[in-house]
Amino acid sequence: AQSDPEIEPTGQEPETSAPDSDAGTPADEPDSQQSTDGGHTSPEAVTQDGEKSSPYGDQGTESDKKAPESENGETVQHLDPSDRRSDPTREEDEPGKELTPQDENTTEVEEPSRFAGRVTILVDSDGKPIPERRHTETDDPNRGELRHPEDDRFSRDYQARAPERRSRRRDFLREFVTRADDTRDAADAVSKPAQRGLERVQPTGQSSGARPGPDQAGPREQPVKAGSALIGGVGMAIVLTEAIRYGIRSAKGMMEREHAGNR
Amino acid sequence: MRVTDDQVATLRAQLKGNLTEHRRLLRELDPDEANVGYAALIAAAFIEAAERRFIRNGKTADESEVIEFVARVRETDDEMPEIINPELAESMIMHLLEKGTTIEADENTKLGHQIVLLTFMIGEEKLNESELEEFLSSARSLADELIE
Repeated sequence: AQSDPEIEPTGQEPETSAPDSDAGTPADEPDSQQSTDGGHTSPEAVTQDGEKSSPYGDQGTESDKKAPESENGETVQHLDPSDRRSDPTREEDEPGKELTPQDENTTEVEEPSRFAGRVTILVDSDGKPIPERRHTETDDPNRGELRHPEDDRFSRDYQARAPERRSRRRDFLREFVTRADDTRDAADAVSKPAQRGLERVQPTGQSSGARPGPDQAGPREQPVKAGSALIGGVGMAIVLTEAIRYGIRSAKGMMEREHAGNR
Repeated sequence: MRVTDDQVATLRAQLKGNLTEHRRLLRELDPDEANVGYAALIAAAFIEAAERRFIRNGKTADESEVIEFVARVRETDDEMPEIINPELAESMIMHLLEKGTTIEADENTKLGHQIVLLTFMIGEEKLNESELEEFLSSARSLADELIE
């Protein structure tokens, strides 16, 4: 059993003469079993004596481990022959390990768990694990587990919506359908404003470049700015020319005064 | 009576932004049929759009999100505050979210609010062609359940 990949030893050392405190007695199993799988009771989980108990228990019980093989005959029939957990010889060889209790008629295989929560793996008569999805009795939408798509209240498939939701939508429709004297006129009055909802762009907080900012030149503004630049350039040229001419005149005047002073 | 193909086409043109086509189809609708079928289709589309917009992954939007949405609609342009009454718009959506009831308003005003709000909601969803068709089909099915 120790080499069986499906079994994880809990590492607990049970007392040799008393059941593990964590495992509890078989009589305690129904409670823990119910808490594990939400109250689901599988016929296969019922032992021959009518008690629901796991072949593994939570950590196994000492009394279970030491059950004689004759008591395990029916159990062996239900379990996988390669499952060495059902081999009493191995159990006796390793008394200190948490092994599968060999309860009669037990087809429920509980994985020894290191965790506080119990993991229960139910197997069918062939010893094959039964997927949890088949345990429809344990389905609880509030548990946050995956549910069947048809149970999704907000499925986009109208035909698959839950009946109560569809009924509610019909109620809404009765309340919301309008009875205007002329629906066409009333609709036409808002048809143009309504189009704004299709034209506006959702603000993203980032510039997409589609619309130039106030400090950016749009296509229509470029000719205006070009004209302004031209006018500015011409103006500058005129000013510069006048400045040069003034400078030349000033220089000529100074030179003439000097010549006149030298005579 | 059931929702007609023409009525669906009229709403489709509205939601695709084909204003001219929408108005043309709207004028061609039979007025008596439109008062029943088109009104039911608009209401059903409004319900469908509100569910898609404000109920995501099983979670219902809270009131603040609804208020923000209506505020965005009203600030679209200068005309919109005159068209959309914030209390009415918010109460209609909160009613669908089962967090309130619609305040009183005349039928034309309620219809107008439904059309504007559902168009804005669809606009934000940015549906492609097939998604829009699926939406219209769902709205039509719901409307037919009422008027059949």
